[in-house]
Amino acid sequence: MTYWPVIAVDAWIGLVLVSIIKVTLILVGGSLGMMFLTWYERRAIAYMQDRRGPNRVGPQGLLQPVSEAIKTMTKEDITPLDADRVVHFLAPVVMLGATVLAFAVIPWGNLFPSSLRVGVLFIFAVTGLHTVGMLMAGWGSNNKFALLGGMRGVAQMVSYEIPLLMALLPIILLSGSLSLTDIVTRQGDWYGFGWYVFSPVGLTAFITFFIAALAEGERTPFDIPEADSEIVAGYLTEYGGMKFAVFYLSNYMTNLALCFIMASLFLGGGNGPGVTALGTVLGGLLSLVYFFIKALALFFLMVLIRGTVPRLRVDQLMGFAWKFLLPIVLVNVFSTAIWVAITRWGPQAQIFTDWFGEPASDNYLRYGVAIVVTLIINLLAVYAVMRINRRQPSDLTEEEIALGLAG
Amino acid sequence: MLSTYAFIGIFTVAAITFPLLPLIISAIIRPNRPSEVKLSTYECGLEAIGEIWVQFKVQYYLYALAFVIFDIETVFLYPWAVAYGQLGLFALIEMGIFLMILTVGLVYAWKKGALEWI
Repeated sequence: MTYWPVIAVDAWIGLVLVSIIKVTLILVGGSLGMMFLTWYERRAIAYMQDRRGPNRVGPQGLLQPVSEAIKTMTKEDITPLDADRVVHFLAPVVMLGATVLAFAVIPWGNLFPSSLRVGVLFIFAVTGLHTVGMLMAGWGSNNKFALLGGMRGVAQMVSYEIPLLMALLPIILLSGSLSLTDIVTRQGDWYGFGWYVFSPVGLTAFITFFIAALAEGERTPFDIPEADSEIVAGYLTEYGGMKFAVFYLSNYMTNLALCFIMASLFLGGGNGPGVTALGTVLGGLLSLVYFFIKALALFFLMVLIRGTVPRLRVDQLMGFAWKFLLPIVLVNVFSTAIWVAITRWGPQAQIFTDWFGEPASDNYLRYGVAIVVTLIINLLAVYAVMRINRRQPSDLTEEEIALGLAG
Repeated sequence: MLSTYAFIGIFTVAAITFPLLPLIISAIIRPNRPSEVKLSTYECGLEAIGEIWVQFKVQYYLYALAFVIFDIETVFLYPWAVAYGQLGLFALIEMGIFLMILTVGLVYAWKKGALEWI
């Protein structure tokens, strides 16, 4: 007598084969996407700075990442004599491995690699390992700049992880599921425009998540761990050749993953007008197109911010996470709870039904009341937090007064 | 369900292989001519002074402690968020109280100066 589900051997082989094909496709797609992103960022930032960027290798410089891959592959690799060899070697492996693992559940349009029921939790559990890799790189290099960068990086990652996780709670409240598949399909109503970003709570969640994602992906203005004008290259100081390239790859893979996650959770993933009408194959292709447009638009926003905003100071960075983002995100969780209660609850709260009528998707009174209430709560929260954080004249240092920054 | 986790397992193996593969290929094809100066620790061209693995500023650990507290609170909030749609008014009020306690903790840490970067 057995309680285990018995699957025939050939079914197992089929499963493994399908999995291997899927894994290969995702890894190749992810690498190509990352290569494209490096090119895209350098070209975009060049035009923002009135330059041309890489445009010699291949059409429009598209083969630049390939030439760089060859260059780093054939470059001599140096491990300092004082470094902890094992930790120094394992740090890039841990970092890239953690990032790649997140792609096991991240959807591509309406194509899902796996329908893991706890997808959101999985992503954050796995990408949390990223921080360990950073600490390993900082500590294992046995270099002062590397250690400083590593410690700064860990402090930053750890601080922004909280707003990042909490900013997702509204989405889980709205969808009632931790599975990315469910979250994306539930945004398909209203002719493919039922995206979560189109509500006051969803918008607040999106903005806070985006800011925290900039910090998690070490993008300017949050690139404190590798601030090249302050601490050489931070935790990357002692890395060169292929190991450095692996770090670089991991960084861009993280950004790609974050863009994909934001596009899926807030901007409806592959949902858009016409996706459901066109059927499985054509609709699937169209969903991929929509998805990449959304993800690339988000990445462009990241590049635009890099081209515009100067780097923060460490104390400002930490203060921003704990004293600004966290209170707003906490209030937003509560106001999402109110939003769900007002728009959806029938038998759970008879009092709302008595006031606004039965809950339905065309009950505009309920949606109107919910929008007004949550908007007021969120705006009040932002106002209160800004007031609390306003600097008193007594907080200013003498240097700042001398520089005329008192305003 | 089982097949999902089988896929995740295969993906884990692939994710570990993925960074190792270019490192191994590079180890085969790259030149290797170490010298003492090349392998010294970088410190702006000077010889490294003093010990590097030292005790570190306590502020980093305060952030880590605050992180642990809030991370665990977040883990409690996730199941609530999943089940919230079916729970009713009780869940709303209870979570309001829970978030209030969380906020009190944040205010305490704030007032104690644990969030200041000195």
